[in-house]
Amino acid sequence: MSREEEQRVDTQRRRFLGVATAGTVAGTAVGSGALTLGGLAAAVATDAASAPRTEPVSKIHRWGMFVDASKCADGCTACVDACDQENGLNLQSEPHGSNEAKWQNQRSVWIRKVKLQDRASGHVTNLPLMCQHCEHPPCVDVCPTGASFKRADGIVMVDRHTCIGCRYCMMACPYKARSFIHEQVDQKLTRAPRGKGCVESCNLCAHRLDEGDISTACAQACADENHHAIVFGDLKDPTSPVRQAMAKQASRQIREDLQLNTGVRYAGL
Amino acid sequence: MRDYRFTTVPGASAAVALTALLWLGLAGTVQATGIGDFVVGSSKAAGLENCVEPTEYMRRNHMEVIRHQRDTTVYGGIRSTKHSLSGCVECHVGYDDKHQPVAIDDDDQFCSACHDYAAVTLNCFDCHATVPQGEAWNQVHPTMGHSLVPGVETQAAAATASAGSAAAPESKTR
Amino acid sequence: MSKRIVYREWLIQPERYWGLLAILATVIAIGGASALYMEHEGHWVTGMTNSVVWGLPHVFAVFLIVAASGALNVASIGTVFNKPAYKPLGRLSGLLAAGLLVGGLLVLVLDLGRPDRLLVAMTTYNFNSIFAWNIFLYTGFLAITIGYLWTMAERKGNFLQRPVGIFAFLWRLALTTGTGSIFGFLVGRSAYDTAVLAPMFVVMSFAYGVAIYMLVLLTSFAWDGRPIGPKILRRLKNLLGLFVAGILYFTLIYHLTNLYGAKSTDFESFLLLQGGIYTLMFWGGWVLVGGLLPLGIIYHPRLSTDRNWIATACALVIAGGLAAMYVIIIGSQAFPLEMFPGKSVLAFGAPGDIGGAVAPYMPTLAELLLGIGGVAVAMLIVSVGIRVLQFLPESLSDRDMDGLVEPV
Repeated sequence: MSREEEQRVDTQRRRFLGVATAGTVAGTAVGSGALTLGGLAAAVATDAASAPRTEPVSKIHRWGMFVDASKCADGCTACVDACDQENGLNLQSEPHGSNEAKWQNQRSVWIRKVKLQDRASGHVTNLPLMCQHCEHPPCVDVCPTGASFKRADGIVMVDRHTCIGCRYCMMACPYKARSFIHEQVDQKLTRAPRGKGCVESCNLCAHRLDEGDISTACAQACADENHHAIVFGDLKDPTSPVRQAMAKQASRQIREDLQLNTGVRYAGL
Repeated sequence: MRDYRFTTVPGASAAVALTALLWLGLAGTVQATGIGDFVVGSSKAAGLENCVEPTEYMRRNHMEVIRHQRDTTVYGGIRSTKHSLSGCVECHVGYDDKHQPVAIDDDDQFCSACHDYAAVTLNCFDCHATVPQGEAWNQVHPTMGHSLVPGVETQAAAATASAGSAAAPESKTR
Repeated sequence: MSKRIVYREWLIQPERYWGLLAILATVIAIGGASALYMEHEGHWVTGMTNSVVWGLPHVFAVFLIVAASGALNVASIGTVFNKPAYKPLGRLSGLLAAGLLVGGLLVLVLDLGRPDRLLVAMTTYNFNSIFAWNIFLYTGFLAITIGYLWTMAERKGNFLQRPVGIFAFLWRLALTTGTGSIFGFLVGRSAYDTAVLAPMFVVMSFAYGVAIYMLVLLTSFAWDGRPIGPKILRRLKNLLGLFVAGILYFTLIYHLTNLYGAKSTDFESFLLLQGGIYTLMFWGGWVLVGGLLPLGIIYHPRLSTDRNWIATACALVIAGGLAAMYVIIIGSQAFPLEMFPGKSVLAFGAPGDIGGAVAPYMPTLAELLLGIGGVAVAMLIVSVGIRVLQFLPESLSDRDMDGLVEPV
């Protein structure tokens, strides 16, 4: 497919998406013509995604997640463990002389298991909480150097090369999604570089996406445990698993009142 | 060749880069008689005729090349081209007697030897991995992507092919 | 016909002067060493965590920056509002403002995770960020203050004094508004999401700046045996009283706004009633020490004429100001982010990770020393400035001053 054609499809698709998302998250209002277009775009997407990326990321995709809290098992930490492994968070070591309780608050965490209890009914909910990959991220707005940025495909991340470690993004984030690297890091991973003095957070396993693997460590681990509480995919593609899941079930954003249009949506919350 | 030195870099980083260039240029001149002095003998690079670009070009412009790739990777998500930093590490890392890789920023290793000599701070490895090892090591495709200098592509490919069997001690995963 | 103001270098004995410089230099060196230690080890050696991301250094830095813009007030009153009695006070006011700003900025910068990347902060901007705007506001303030000082000191520049003074006054209002807005526009945090913070910071800057100014003035004059008349002192302390009352007023408005909005009632009950150290700091530090006690002294018929008591009031305002900053900056971070209304957080991440509960924060010595180092930098700049250049008027006694005739 030539570049122009691709761009044309892209524009048409976006126009269609604008209409579709204006209605509901689900693709119920989608006409048959639009369906074909969506399918076509999806074909382009898979085409481009099967190999390491050679073209820069574009707005064709917006990566996101759907979390069904009712499927999230109490006591299970598979997603957290997988994330730690994937992104080298397990390689952090408590500095000699540090205090254990404080260290738990200082080490970098990308995804957390949160357990909630409704005050009125006593109902208990479990859910994974990570960077919500907002469409209008407060962390990006406040960053003085622009190191905190949103990639074209909707992933909010930190360019460590320009991060000066001011931590204003951590002040601004409503989800406590970001971590500051408080200590010297000895062991680093190529896919997840990490060093003292910068801020970081979940990047939806961007390295996987860039290699053409449409998955995240947490979603995969959750599926491997047979819980399927986390579904990852392209929010702009009505045929993607994440959109399919969202079409079936009502979902909401955490802190919906802030109108950040998060890329991570929760059901059963 | 010299024209490449003046690629545009925004703002004051240009000043820093220029200073660095000057220093490295100086180092290059001083050491011109002993080309290959900085390439660690046990590294894969020692068996290759050229870096991913002509050696002379890389001496003067490697920071530009790396910075360009850095932004392409961070903002564009394009990771596996021949100008990636992990490519530098993979090819230039030295090995000890037990065939274990030595961190590339250790004293007298490829990066530090020259940077110490030129007194230019090297902080890539504050965050980046220094040895091409372990489960996390990305697969690198050194000959992918387009060359900045036309014509070296085939040369580099040939060199990689001839040296590939001789020096590839690390296993590639993923 | 106006009286001629004579400015003279600070003429205290060399032993005393060099002794002072040695003490300040030592404090600065210790502060610098603490910063190096923090940068070398990483921030784990501080009390800061992923919950309380800005700690004691920010308390000092923000206090100093806010006070810096307030210290320039005295000069503004002289030139912008044309009060001749304040004219002789203008030069010290400008110098103090510059010194406090440099001290505050140093602390701010040395607390960064990557202070070595300051160049990045200076060359890469995100103009959506209030922080980025503040970088311009701060550096601009410094430049304008220096220019302002020049127009005050150089006869050829005198005619520019008023326009530059007005510009500096407007700039300093923008600066404090900007500093307040750093906190005011953080939508995610219940304590901060209110526009009242910006004007509150402006009033705070007036009070802290004048308090520091008065302390510096009283000390430098006393050491050098220069006279300060009771009339000018009364004016200054009345000014301070007005600003302190202003802080209390805005504090009331701030909390009423929060109490009115149902969203923030939890935060208010935390801060005002159950917040432990923060509640103590609020009532004991911000309101009592920084507000009611100094007001009591300033308007007391007898105490208010005693300059030791006036100096005490100034010191109390400063202490209260630091407490207020502590409550605003740290208390608001310690309070948990409200993500799940109507639900209690039973667990948040691994054990020890904080969410849904008040985050602990205990500043370490390194942080305190860095902050104090910043104060010492400001004092060093002022000490050297008044020693080598003619910043201090020879006399502020009533008969040597213009505009002190009591209105009939």
